[in-house]
Formats: sequence, structure tokens, C-alpha cells
Amino acid sequence: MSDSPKLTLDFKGLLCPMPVVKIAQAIKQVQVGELIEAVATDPGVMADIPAWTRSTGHELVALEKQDGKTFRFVVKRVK
Amino acid sequence: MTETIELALKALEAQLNQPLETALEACARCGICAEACHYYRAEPRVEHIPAHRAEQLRSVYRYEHDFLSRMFPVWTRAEKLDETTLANLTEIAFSQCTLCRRCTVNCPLGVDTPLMMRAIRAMATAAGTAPEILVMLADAAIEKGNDPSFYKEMFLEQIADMEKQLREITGDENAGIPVEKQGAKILYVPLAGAHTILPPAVVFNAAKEDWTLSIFEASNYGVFLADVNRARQVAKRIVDEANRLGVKEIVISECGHAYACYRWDVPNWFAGRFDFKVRSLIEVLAEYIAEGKIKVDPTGIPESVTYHDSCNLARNGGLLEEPRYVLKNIVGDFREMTPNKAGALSLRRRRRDRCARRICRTKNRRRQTQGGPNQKHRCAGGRCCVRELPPADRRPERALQLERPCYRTDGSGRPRDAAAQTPARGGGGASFRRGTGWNSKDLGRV
Repeated sequence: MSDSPKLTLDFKGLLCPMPVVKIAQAIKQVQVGELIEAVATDPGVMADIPAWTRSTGHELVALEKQDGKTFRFVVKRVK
Repeated sequence: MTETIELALKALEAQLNQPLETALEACARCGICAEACHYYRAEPRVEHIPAHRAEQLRSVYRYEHDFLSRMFPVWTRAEKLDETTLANLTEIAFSQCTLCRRCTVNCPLGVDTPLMMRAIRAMATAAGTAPEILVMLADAAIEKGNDPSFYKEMFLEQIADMEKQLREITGDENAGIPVEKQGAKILYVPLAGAHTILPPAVVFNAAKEDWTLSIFEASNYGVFLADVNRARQVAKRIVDEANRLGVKEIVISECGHAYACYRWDVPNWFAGRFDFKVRSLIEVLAEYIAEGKIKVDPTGIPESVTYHDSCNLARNGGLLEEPRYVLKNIVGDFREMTPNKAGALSLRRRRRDRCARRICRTKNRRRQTQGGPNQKHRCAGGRCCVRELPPADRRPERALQLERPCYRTDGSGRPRDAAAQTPARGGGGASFRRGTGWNSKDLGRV
């Protein structure tokens, strides 16, 4: 297990629900315990990503607004 | 019988009601539905005839409900449900039918093939063979409804940012985006993202409307799964919010599926009378223009514009006049396109499918030859039609400008149409008269 993200994804320009769809696809590409970092521009991710991690059981390590226009989040695969 | 098959058959039995049984029994096999189907028109194969698709479910239904079919399945072409059949049914219902109901409208017996496709989707969802992404999105939406507190603070921060943009656009320091305003007249339910919040906020403020914004989004992925249990849980968030705030009506944003869900399905799911009514944003826009609550510039868009009806708003919802009324008031050269039909949402999942590409090519050709350079979509599903078109950089000579009424932007995020709307200077026009439902002209058009 490492603290650095295994995958870094760019979801800029994607509208809801595509960031959730993409992260759900990407989570299958990493091992349990590994991290995925992503950046999106759709403000909907601030609600959708926490809801997705809650419903799927994965861990939301970080979720932050970066420069007023982009949103960065880090998800850890738990199962 | 495996557990998967048992669950699927149980779901089929649970779905059986008079309309579904009628659809399962009534087909005359005349084949008129074939020419009505986008898939058949794009790729004329027997598998793309709606009656053939429905027959796949009918054969399973016959095996389960007809003694003769169970004893001698070859005689009646009945089929026992197994994993292979269920996989085939799932593929048909989720990937080869958009539930646009064009076949039903054109059927001389009114056989509701999409109702049967919904039954299959429910079977697949119950058996666990439905597309994983849809299940995941529905579950995430339910999670948001269970405990909105985990994102509410961030949501309110975003709305505060949007309010600043709203004040820049309108030049009105008092313009605002109220959230959870008790006793407001309208509860506006957007899709996730600023593109369905900011432009309507401009209009609501221009019309001096007493409105409030929902903290939830209108999308209901339980509907796509035909899973009434999930769909009801997703819808309950908004029904409860409307009851809690005591609003008089819910206004749904552009999404055709969300409109159909809250306008037609939700009253059945909750089996009760609501103190509020449900309308689409386009109905409200038309009313504002007709009553003079907002003043629009009839030459605001000088280019030629045509309109692509969406299946859920037009064919399923009867909203034929309102979008055209709005467009005729904001564009200089509005042209009708014939035939004018939509139904591409499920194509989203099958972008690389050859048949889906052909459907979009046909639609694009029609826009090229009959429509103007601009095309308006009313529903979010129209976004899929938009994305299927050839990108401008690849085929510039065929590139179209595709926009949705009042969501037009000039690249800076500023909603040009909505910004052109200013409060009326007193006095109101005649009230807008709703369409009276289906007639032969409508059927031909959509």
C-alpha cells in the first residue's frame, strides 16, 4: 500500500454523472488499498463522489475545491 | 432453477398487471412497428422489430402461464427462462430499445412494447444482470437522500458562488438563489451542475418568482432500471422536500426522464394526492412569456433554428406547443423538421454500436437537409443526440450548433437567451394555453 495515487485522472469538462461513472470504472483497475486521484470541473462531484463512496464502501480520502473552478478528490479502494 | 432465474421470474410476476398482460397478449404481428423503430430504420434486421423484441418476453410468459405451452413448448414457441435467455432479454431491453414509445404510438392495437421492455429491465435488475453503472448511480442517489448533511455545506458554498455570477449577469444586487425557502411557490429541481441552475435562476429572478432551489437533483436512475423500489426512494427525497417546504408546485429542469418520472410515475408510486403540481421548466418559461412576466428579444437569435422533440416531453408528456412557443419568441427564423423525433438516451451506452451510429447518422442527415444551422434540444437526453454528431474539427462542413432553449452560452458561461430576458414593464399578455393532447397531426409529427 502506498500513499501516492496509483492512478491520476482528469475529469475536466465531464458533466454529472460521468465523473462517477469514470471513477467507478477506474476503481477496478487498482488493487485494494491503492489510491486514485482525480480532478473535475463539475461542481456536482462535491456531492456525488461522497455519495458514491458511501454506497459502494470505498474510502474518500480527500475532496477539495482547488482554485474556484476545479475539484480534486482522492479515493481509496477498500474492497 | 437457479436463484437468478427464480428472482427474474418473481419480478415478472410482480410486474404483471392488466396493461402488461394486455401487451403480452394483444400483438397481431402486423409489423407496422418495424418502420417506427429507430433501430429497424437504421439497420433493418428482424431482431430490431419491436414485435420481435416483445416476442422474446412473450415466449417466456407463455411458458409460465399457458399449460399447453409448458407441455409442448415447440408448438407455441414458448421458452423456459434460463441464463442465456435472460442475458439475451437484458441486452434487448437495455441496449436495443430506448423506450421512446414510437412503436406504441404507431401500433394499430396500441401494444405497449416499452412496457414489456420495462418489465424485462425489472427482471434483470432483480436478477442482478442489469448494467452495474445504473445500479451504482441509483444507489448513490439514494445515499444522498438518506443523509444530505454530508454534502449540504459544500452545496451551499457552490450556490453562494453562483449567486455572485447571477448578480454579475443580471446586474441586480438583490438577485439570489434561495435554498430550502419555507413557503415558496415553486420548488425548482435541477440536474447536478451549474448549467441547469444558473440560467433558470436568471429567468426566475427576472420574473420576480417566489421560488426555491432543491438540494437534490432531478435525475432518477431507478427509472432506467425499472426498479420501482429504488426509483421511489430517489423520488421520495424530492416529494418530502416539497411537502416540508409547503410549495405549490415542483418545476423540473430540462431532463425529460425526470419530468416523466415526477409528472406521471410518482403519483402512482406514492398512491396519494399531493398538495403540489409538477411542471417542466419549459412550461413555466412559456407561461412567463405569454403572461409578460419576462420580456424576450424576438431577434435575440438571428440564425435559422429547428427543434428536435424529445420522446419523454413530447411523445410521452404532450409538451409539443410550449417549446415551440418559447423558440418562436426568441429566434428570428424557426423552422420545423419532419419527421421530428427523439429517443437516443440509451444510445449513450452503445456509442460504438454500429446500429446506434447509423441512427445518429440518419438524424443528422435530416437536420442537415431540413433544419437550419442551429438545432435546439429540450431534454438532457438530447445531449446524447448532440454528442453523436460528427465533431466540428473532423467534419467542419457538417458541423451544427446544438443548444437547448435558454441554456445557450457564448463560451463564457453566460446564458445569452436568459440574459436577454428582462422583467416586463407591467401588463400581461394572454395566459398561455396548454396543448390539448394528442391528435392526428401530432402523431404524424413525432
